[in-house]
Amino acid sequence: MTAAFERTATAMGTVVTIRLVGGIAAERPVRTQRALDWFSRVEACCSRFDPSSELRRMVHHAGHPFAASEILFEATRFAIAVARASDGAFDPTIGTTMESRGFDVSWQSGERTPSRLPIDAVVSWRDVEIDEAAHTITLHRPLVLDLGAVAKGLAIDLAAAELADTGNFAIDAGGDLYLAGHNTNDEPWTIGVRHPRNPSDEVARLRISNAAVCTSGDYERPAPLGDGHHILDPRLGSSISRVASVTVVAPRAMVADALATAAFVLGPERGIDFLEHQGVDGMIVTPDLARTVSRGMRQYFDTADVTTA
Amino acid sequence: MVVADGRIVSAQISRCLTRYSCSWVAHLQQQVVVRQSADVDFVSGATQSTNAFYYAVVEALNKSR
Repeated sequence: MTAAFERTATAMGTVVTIRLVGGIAAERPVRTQRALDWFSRVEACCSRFDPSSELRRMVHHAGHPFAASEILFEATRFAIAVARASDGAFDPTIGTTMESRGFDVSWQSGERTPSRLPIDAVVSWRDVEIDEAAHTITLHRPLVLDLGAVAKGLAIDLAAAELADTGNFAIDAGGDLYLAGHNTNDEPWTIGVRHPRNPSDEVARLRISNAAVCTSGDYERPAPLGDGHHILDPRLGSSISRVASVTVVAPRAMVADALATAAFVLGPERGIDFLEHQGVDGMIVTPDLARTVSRGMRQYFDTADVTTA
Repeated sequence: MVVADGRIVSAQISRCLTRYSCSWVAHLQQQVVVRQSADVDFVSGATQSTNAFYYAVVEALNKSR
């Protein structure tokens, strides 16, 4: 049994916990704080809820190339790449649609912070141009990016890079995880996948080392206005009802989180095909609790997961 | 949670709440019978406590006005 050091902070509207196993005791508070700092840094760039964030300032530059910071550029470039790969099932340009459903309240101020762009304007990921050489983003129409599924993952990955040489650690950002090395019992980390209908139960139990695990669930954020939840079909502008949750295991949290959202929109069959095509593993749970898994997913199931027997 | 001028000054979360609300312990007992294994290190998917945190923040801020 190795001693663990744990620190919890609030960022991006959720609770972030970092746990270090072993390491040099005197260095652990500083190392953990440096890792946590990435969450506020990414939030300052990518928040849709803060009118002074870089993402919101970019809206005013529509029609012109915007010289984005490294963080905003990476998050946007990746979001657009997933949009292209999923043929628009994942689309980060749904910001104003999200606002119209009441997802415009800042967790830091409690204020509604809408962009006041017309909600009926038809925009898509094709309206966002990424110039790799010039390192610029051009919004060809006024639109608000929603990088929610990407930014939290990016922050986890940056925090993980900060801690990489410590070997054994876990980062938990509101149920999106990165697990490095082993836990205090010198074993791969034991991860329960939340039951989508019964928060105190699990639908699967995994064993994970050196990978990210992210779950998108319809239970996370009910829409403040109208019916449904926070995962919209960008092509229809409404919530998905065929899927209750999607869990993805991937080398990076940014990848796991974005691909989980895309698979959620694609549905149980096409979603699993999509994940396999992208080279990651995953599990899709339907509202009647049927589980569909990718071919490689079973390697992660814990032997105590009796539901796979 | 400390709120001043409508902004969060600090938010402390009890260790218990960061993983499971205390009332979950009873449920976990039942679960062990089904799973035949000890507790997990982490849970993937927004847990009761992380969701509760989000809505507690919004509520605290609304009350502070």
